[in-house]
Amino acid sequence: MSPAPRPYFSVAGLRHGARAALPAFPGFIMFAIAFGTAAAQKGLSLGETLGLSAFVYAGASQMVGLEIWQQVWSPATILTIVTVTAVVNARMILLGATLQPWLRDEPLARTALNLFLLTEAGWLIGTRYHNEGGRDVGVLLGCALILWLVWLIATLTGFFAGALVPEPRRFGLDLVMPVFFGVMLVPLWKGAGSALPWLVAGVISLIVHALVPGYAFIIAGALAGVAAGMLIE
Amino acid sequence: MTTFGAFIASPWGSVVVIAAMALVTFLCRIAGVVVMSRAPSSWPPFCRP
Repeated sequence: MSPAPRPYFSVAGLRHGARAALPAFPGFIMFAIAFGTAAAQKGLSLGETLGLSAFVYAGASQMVGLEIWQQVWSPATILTIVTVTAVVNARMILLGATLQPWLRDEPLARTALNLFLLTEAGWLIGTRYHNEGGRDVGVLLGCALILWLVWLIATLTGFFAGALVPEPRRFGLDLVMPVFFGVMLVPLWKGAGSALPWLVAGVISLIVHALVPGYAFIIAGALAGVAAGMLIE
Repeated sequence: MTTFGAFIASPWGSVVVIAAMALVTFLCRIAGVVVMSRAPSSWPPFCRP
C-alpha cells in the first residue's frame, strides 16, 4: 500500500481553486446583494457594510447582526451581538476540524489566511477535491480568495442598490431579510419531523421576546433549536 | 459614563463591534483546527485526525 500523498501548495492550485469556485458564484452573489441592500436600508454606512463583509465574512451572522445593529452602542448590546455571532458561527468549528489533516504542515500565516476565508461553499469545494485525492492547499485558498472578492463586490452592488431607493417599502425592499431567511429554509426542508427544532426555536424565541427585553430571544431560540435537534437525533 | 462606554457610544463604536464580530468569527474558524492539532492519543480514533 502506497503512503498517502502529502499536502503541498502551488500557484496552479490557486487558479484551479478559483475556477472550481464558479458554481458557488450565483448563491454568493445573491446572498451578498441581499446583505448589502439590507445594510443600506438599515442605515449602515458604506464603511460599516464593507467592514462587516470583509472582516466578518460570514453571511448568516452578518444578516442576524443587522437585526441587532445600533446607531449608538453600549457594552450590553456589543455583548449581545458578539454572543449571537459566536452562536451562529459555531458550526465553523466543525468545518475547521475536518481541514486540520490537510493544513497541519502548512505555514502558520497561510493556514490563518485559509481559515479567515473559510466558508461553507469553499469548504465543500475543497473537501470534494480532497476526497478525490487532491492535496494542493492552493486549491482551497484560490477558491476562498475568489469567493471573498465576489462577496465584497456583490455587497457593494447591493449597498448602492439599496441606498439609491428612497422608499424601500414601495418596492418591498424592507422585506429582503425575512424573505431571504424564508427562502434559505426551503432547501433544508426534509419533512415535518425534522422541522420540529425549527418550531421549538420559533416558539422559544417568541416567548423570550415577550418576556425579556433586548435581543436575548435570538440566542435563546438558537440554543433551544440546537438542543431540540440534539434530543431528536 | 466610563471612558470605554463613551468611546463605544461614539462613532467608533461600530468599528469596535465589527472588530469584535470579526474576532469571534475567526476564533470559531480556527478552533476546530487548534483542537484537532492537540487531540491527545487517549481520544477515541474518530476524534483524532
